[in-house]
Amino acid sequence: MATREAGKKMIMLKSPDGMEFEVEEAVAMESQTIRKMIEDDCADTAILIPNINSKILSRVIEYCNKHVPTTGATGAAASDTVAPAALAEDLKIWDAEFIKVNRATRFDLIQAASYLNIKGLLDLTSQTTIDTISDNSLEEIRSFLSTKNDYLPEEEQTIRRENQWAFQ
Amino acid sequence: MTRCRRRGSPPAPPPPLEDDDLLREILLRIPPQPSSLPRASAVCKRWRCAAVDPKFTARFRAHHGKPPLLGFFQRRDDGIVFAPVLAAPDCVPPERLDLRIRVADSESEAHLLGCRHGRVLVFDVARAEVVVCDPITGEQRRVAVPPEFKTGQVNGAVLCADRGQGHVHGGCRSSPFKVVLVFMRSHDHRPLACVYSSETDTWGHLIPTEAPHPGSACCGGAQSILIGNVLYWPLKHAKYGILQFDLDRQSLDVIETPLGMNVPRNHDIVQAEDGTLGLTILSHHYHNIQMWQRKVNCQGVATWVLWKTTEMHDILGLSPPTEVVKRGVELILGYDQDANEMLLYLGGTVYIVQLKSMQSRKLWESQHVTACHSFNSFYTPGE
Repeated sequence: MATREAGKKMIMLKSPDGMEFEVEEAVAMESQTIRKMIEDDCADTAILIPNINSKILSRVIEYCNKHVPTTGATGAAASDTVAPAALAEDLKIWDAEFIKVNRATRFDLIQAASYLNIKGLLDLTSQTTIDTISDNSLEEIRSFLSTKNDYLPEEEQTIRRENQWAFQ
Repeated sequence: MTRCRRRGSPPAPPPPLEDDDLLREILLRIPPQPSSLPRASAVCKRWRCAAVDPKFTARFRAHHGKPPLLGFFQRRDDGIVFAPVLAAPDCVPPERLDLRIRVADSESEAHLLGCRHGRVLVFDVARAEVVVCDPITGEQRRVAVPPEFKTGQVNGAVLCADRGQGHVHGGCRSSPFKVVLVFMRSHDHRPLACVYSSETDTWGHLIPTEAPHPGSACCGGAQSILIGNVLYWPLKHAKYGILQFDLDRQSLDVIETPLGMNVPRNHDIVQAEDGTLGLTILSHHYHNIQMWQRKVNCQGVATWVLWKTTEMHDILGLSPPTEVVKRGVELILGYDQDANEMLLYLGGTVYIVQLKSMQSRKLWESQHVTACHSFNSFYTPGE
């Protein structure tokens, strides 16, 4: 059975490299995948999160901790004193700092957000990836994302010619 | 240990950009501008597969919601022409969206009636047909108009008829559509409306207003706006007003308007910031733009309220006040309801003005002062 701490239900998350993280159930349930496991009563002792190493899992938990909606007595008090717009602005600034990571970590976070089904984190990581390439040339995009150009030169020419204006 | 974990060690997942689902998840966030997907499709074959996949493009449109404003269609001497408003690389050239409809020669006369949900509606007067065009695919559908509409000044609107859950306007290419035509019947001075449905390929019955409205006429070519499920067009001549057609109730009415709407093209119907019907009126006398809003009280009585007046020289980006006097003709040419932007013609130069911020941007120089119809659409490669 999950442990209780200060009246809050706790859940144990395990990474494949053997690290264990005790988190509030509400925080873990920011992940729709974990929420489903809990709701289906599949999470009696601990939940193994496959393919997400402890370094990435700890970052994901950090994200969920920040983004879990505040409810109950403390939450009500917080929303009385802080306007929702200010709260959203604070989250935005926090997100911008959180996502200042290298490309490999960001890709790991995308995978984790996708597997764990955390919409906000998937939005943040995917949008950041797009924002970093949006003003770049095709060659720069390929090199930045390590994507190989598998077109023959004439094939690429045909595709460019279809909408030549888009490449000006 | 959880009882639900997979048996054995799961295989390591591929890097995000090699996983088709994740690649699509990332590509969804590309800006909705028209060059985005054509450029993405040139990166590599896997990116192209995603960018041309109808399932992906449907998600792309749903993710972004409103399609971007690509430009305006305008009837000019030589045809109905597309004028782009975006800068390169998002500037879709006029020839790419050419409707291939000649407007006025010895054999043909065609009027541009409106654009909505990716389609353009043209009235071919000589053949007494409306032409519903999809400028991106080049497809056209011609429909003969009811006999009553063969004479007089006709206006109209086209709109997507897809009421399916999850349908986002902007990807209405394969959806059914409706055409609403309006005109003033001369013998009893009653405005009439008639609705065509592409699903049944038929026109409905003629819908007149309850009361006659002598002295008014439909503004041929003036743009309609759609608020909820109600269409509005300006009326002109001795008596100005707004024609209102409720698509749910199938009823046609005339709304009276405030004073000041007394010069052709000095006003336009807009959607006010609270979502209700609004009007912008350009006062040549005071050199200002008045914005009116139609307020309906709890008894259902509607009144026009002046809620904002902006001096022309306060519109950021326009010429300084010393030049206002010399600017010459001042007209409102069009309105983009999605972005709440108005096209302003000032002595040979067309500006686009954001009506909330009142910031403006110079678009082009032109001597054409016919109505401009905003064209908003996503642009996906392979179409």
